[in-house]
Amino acid sequence: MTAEATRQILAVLHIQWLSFRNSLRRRSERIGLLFSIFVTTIWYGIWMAAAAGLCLFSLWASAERLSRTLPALLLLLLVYWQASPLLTASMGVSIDLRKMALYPLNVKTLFLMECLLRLMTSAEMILVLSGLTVGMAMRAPQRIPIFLPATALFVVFSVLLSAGLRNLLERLLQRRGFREIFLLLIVMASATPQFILWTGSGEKVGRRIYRILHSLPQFLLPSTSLAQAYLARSTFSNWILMIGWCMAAAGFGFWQFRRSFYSDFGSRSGDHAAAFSRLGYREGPLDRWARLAARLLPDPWAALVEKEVRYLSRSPRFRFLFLMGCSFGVVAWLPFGMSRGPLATGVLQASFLTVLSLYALLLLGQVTFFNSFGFDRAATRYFFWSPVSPAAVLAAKNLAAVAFLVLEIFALSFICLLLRMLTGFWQFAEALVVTLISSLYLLSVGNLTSILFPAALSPERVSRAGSGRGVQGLIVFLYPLLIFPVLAAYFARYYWHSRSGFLLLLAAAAAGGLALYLATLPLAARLAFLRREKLLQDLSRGEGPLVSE
Amino acid sequence: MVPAILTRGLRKLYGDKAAVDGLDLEVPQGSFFGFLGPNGAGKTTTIQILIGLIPPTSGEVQVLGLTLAAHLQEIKRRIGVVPDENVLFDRLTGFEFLQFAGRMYGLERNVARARARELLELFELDQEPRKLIAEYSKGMRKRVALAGALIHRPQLFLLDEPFEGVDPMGARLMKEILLGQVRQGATIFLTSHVLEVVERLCDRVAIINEGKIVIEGSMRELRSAEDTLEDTFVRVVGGERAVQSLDWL
Repeated sequence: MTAEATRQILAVLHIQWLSFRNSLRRRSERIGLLFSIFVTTIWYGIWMAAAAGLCLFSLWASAERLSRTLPALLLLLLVYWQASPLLTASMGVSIDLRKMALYPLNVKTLFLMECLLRLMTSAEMILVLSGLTVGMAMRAPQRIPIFLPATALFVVFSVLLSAGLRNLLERLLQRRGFREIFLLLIVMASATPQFILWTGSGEKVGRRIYRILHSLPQFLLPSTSLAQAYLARSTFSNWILMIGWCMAAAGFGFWQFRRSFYSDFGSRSGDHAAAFSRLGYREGPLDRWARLAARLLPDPWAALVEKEVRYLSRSPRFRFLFLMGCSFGVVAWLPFGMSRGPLATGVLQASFLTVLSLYALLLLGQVTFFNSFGFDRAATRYFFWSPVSPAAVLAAKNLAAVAFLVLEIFALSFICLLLRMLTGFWQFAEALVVTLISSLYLLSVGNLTSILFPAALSPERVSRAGSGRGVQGLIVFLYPLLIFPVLAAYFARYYWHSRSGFLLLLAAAAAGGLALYLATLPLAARLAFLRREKLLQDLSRGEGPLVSE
Repeated sequence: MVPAILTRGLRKLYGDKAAVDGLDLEVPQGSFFGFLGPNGAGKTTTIQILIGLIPPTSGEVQVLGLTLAAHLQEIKRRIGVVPDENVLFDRLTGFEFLQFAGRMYGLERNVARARARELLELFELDQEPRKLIAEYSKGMRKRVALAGALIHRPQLFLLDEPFEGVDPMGARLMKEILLGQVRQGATIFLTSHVLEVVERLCDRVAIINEGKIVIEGSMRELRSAEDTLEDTFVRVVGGERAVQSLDWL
């Protein structure tokens, strides 16, 4: 790394730090930061525990056990290292190539920066690997000069490979069809453990995987080379292989990064044009559905709802989360809902569709009513100079979100019907009514968070995290509390076995939700008017040279 | 006739700094009024106050004879705005945006639809009807923004740098349309750094610096045989200074 490259990298990191520090002037960012620190502490606490466990295992396990387990363990680590960002569709911190392209930064310097970022976002893997390395170092200190360089090579290989995969995936996710296929693959991959659990074929599958792994030329894998180094069995060929893998990963990583760099150059505005067909936008079923919604309402409500429905349906980020709500929720809750699964419970079986719908409500909220102006960004000011009240704007946005929610419930019902998890019309009616009642509470909170903690959302960045802000993470955390009146009704139903109690409490929850919504809507509108300057500033804000998901 | 815009002692403070500092402005109805000033002088802040985006700290503001604080909604119905930044809904096509704008300003749906089509044709944006605003060039965005400001036939136009980034053909088209509006009795209040355009279009000009009006008058008054508008501008904002030389430059 040349002195100039070092200066440039340090300069970029410095302004990223300044951007972060200046963002803390916003109260919402400070609250979000506190929550993020809390969540991060728990998250890394878990990984530290795993690292400690691995350290103790490597220290105390018998040589024979270690010899059997270590290659598979390291292979699992490698696979998780690469697959985890893909499965979560969370790309971590990345370089905003559009901004960096203005400066005389060598593409190699930028690639180096990208690799450093990948290293930073692989902290969990580094922790776990460190735990293993410390354990092995205590077990056999004389072998440290052998496996320490091997570990370093393994880390380098993993980082370079993840940089390449990340850039490849980010480019592919900009293509319309690929996003949906990728989502399907994520869902299928997530469904596999559930499916194995449900069919009770864990042992059979485990044996088959073991046989497949052992039939592969494992000596070729970098994880095997590292395991051999730990076990004092490394040969010259292992080192050659490791170095060869590193070089291949470096070539692949740089190739993909360079393609991303120049494809960003090619787009008019990297945030927009790449996502759209050169032939322009073709009206689809959702546009006709938007017009249908408009026929039921007078203007300007109809115009606002129509605009919102179009806007959301054309945002890849929203579409991704909408599909996640329809698919991932089913997969995640399936073992609890199916009668044959080991985790089946009667409560969840009876209200399976309701649980899925409530999960979908939460997912949708992250890109709609919890941050209503997120996608509009700077265009939000249009609402403030047009002769439409903020209350009408918020209400119309809420209506659009609810319209999508209803669509999602229909989709989920269809899926449950196919899975024979839908016992009848009343289950569907229950899911619809309960979710709509719950939405009243969430919309009430969401209208306030949209005004008090607004954040610009990129419609193009497909990530499972909604806005990625700590405040919204807090809302997810507090979700059961927010829909407590509805949960109380279920308590009456299943604990006291009182159907009439359930209906009564549900009706009370509905009345309470409606009252809360009608009280908070004018409050939010008034706040929007009083805080419009700050609201518009926050929504127009950009980020530093590094963009976080 | 009541002025289109009237401000008395208008102030906008950000902490200790006054973005607008005791602005007294009177824009006659039916005029093409240029509001000029160096960067950071308070032009955009003034327009944002006039359209109700930001509240003034103090002072009186009347738009079309109505007090801003008391009749904000009514004022909004009667004005058309083209902002300086890209604040369009970029996931809509031009046609959808114009329809939306029309309906937001109270037009019947069929009327909004018809006018949207006509405006797209007028602004030469109808060749690619399925194109999203996100794919528009800067000039096209300015044209569709102006179309959105025109659709409800406002009495007063507030335009912040409307010609920025617009090619000469597009700029000529916009100028002709704006002049046509003035001939029909509308008032245009615009800011621009392109002084040649201001000279050709505006009949009255005010120059603001550090939040205060430093000079105001008709184009004839501000310009003479010896001085262009640019000369007057530079002189009144105190921009005349020797260019420093830097050793390394």
